[in-house]
Amino acid sequence: MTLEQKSVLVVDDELDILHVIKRSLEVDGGFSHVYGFTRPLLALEYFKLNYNNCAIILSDIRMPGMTGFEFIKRIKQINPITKVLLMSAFEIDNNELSTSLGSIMIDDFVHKPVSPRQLTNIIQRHIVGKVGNYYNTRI
Amino acid sequence: MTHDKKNIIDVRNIDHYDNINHILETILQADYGSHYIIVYPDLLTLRKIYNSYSKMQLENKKDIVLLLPFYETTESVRKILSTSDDVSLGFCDDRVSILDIRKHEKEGSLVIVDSKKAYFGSKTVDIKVFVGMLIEHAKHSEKIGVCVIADMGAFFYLNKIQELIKHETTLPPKFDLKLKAFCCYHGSDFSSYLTEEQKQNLLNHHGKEMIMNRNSSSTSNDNIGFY
Repeated sequence: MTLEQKSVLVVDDELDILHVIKRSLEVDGGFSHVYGFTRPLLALEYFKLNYNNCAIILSDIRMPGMTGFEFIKRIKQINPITKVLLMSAFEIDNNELSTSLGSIMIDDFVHKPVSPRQLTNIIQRHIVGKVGNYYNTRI
Repeated sequence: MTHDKKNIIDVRNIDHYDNINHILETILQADYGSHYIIVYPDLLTLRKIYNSYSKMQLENKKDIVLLLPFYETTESVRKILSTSDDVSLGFCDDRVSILDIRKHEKEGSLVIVDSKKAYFGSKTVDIKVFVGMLIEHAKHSEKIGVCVIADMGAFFYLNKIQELIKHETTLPPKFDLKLKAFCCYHGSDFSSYLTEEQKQNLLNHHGKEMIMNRNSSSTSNDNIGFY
């Protein structure tokens, strides 16, 4: 399976935002397998069964039922090498990030609003592996 | 206080719009001193509730409206209040209009603060003190009182469940103040983070409970959670 055939998993509790991201990744990004979830728990269930096929995960942070931080922690427990990007419309400071994530590293942080093209570019860059890990200190 | 089942407005299995209308009617009729809990199924529902309620309260010019959103930014709230009423709401759509947010915020009749900042952002100004200041401000600005719609999601986000219980249980089910407070809980937070005992404890410390389950949501894809 090539990278292009691997899936992108997107989690956002707002269906409208999820729709826009999914569509832009499919239409502009050329990703044929984009799976969107409004509920992190269901995304986790999906990931447990399909983590080998998942190239990258993009998750919102403020979500009811399970925060993006908790979601990413659980993702990393299942597969520590999965690339993860967090996104938020809110300011997240270093303290909040380090307190919430501990030693877990994310690959990037995306501030919303972000244009579909920018988001697609960010994900493409990470999938082809041209960027390194994203450390807490960069926020 | 014992848990009075008569105070529960269980709106499950009722049409979605009727649910929102029912909740809106209830909170619009709330007297000063009311301290209600609303468990909402999705952000769309909460938006419709605060949008209609805020517009009507501000047009009546009797109260200061304090909105404490959590799952959307304060800018998002301003944008929603600045747009025309959602006709799909089917509730009093001829009585509400586009709000001049800047004017209302400038004159102090509308205050919008991120819930996380309001509850945890300041070590010097407690939210209860802040609300007290708004009540005093209302007295001196030809208004009667203050209405608060607060999303409690910040407590779950920061894993402050004990602080949430403490905060809510130190508040009475009815205030002896010119205050109407509506504590809003996302259904997923309410069911995921709280034990049955904690849920009951919270319900017992509110004068009225309004619980909407996911079945009443209009967004079928959201019910599935997979898109």
